[in-house]
Amino acid sequence: MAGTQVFPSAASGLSATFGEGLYGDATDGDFTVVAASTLTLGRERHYKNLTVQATGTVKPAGFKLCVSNTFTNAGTLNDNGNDASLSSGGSALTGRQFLGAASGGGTNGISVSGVGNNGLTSANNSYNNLGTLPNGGNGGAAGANAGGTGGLPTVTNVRWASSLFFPRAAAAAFGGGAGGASGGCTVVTGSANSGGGGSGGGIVWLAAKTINNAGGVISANGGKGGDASFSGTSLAGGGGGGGGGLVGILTATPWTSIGGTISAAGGAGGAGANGGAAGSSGVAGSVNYIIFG
Amino acid sequence: MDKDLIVEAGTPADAATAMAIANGCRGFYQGIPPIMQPMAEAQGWTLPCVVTEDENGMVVSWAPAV
Repeated sequence: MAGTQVFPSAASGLSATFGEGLYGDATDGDFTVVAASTLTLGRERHYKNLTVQATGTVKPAGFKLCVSNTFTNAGTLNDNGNDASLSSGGSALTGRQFLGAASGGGTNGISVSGVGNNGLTSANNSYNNLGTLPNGGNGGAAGANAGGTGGLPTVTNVRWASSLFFPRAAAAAFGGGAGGASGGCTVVTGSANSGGGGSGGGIVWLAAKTINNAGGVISANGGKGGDASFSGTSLAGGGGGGGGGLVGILTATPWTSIGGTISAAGGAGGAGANGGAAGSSGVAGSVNYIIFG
Repeated sequence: MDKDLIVEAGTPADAATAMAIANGCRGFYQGIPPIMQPMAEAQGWTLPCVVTEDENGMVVSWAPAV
């Protein structure tokens, strides 16, 4: 399984309590996020048990999240990038707290004939598990006018996959995915607006002894590119999706028992208008585990 | 500012959820968490209660739940 490191089990000679200190000190007790509510971490949290009800949300906001006993998630734990809204690009995630997790922004679409705007970069990134960088998606073309080029992250010499025990890239924080580009635009008669790009995903770092993610989502996905619009005979391309971010999980739960959805996918491209091409999806980021099997 | 409910440990989740929603809270603690116990003892918190946290996740006030 790519991106997964399985440590020896207690039966192989390690103490039954081996590694429990990794899951925090439980000083934040037993907490439940109720449905349709959002818990945004304002500091590093060390829960004993954390439950997220369906439609509840936890936003790590650059902090590590520790659960010494059981993390039960029927909602979402995410640091997703921002979706574009039609021609308005998704805003970048700013650098936050210990993890950093700054991502590249999506650029705005255009309403005059020309090539799209290039997506914005992110710094201190990590190659994903396929050895590629989480670039933003390209904008879609509108006839002869090409979409912009997706943001290209700059890479550090430290990989996320080997840094989960101390999730920073040397002295600097890791960055999330790069931003998507806007689509191209060709105005003939009427008007057209190309789609804006989605922003890159950020970072989720979770250390939980037991994880029950049935029905839940843990993600650092890129934001979706915006859809283009038109009138008359004009045409425009869709925006590119943002690049995926980083998800790191330390747990004693076997891989096959975690359940739910865990992803750092690139955002989908937006739709083109009147023959303009759709934007491209962003490139996936990294999901990595250390499982104390 | 965010509000959280604290109920006695062992309170059924359905009852705690309903009370959290009624009090405008984003969630509930089952019992006073260790990180809040010194403040709870110093200020004489009674359960169930609602605590208000600042943007850094630190408790700035408490009040009995309704």
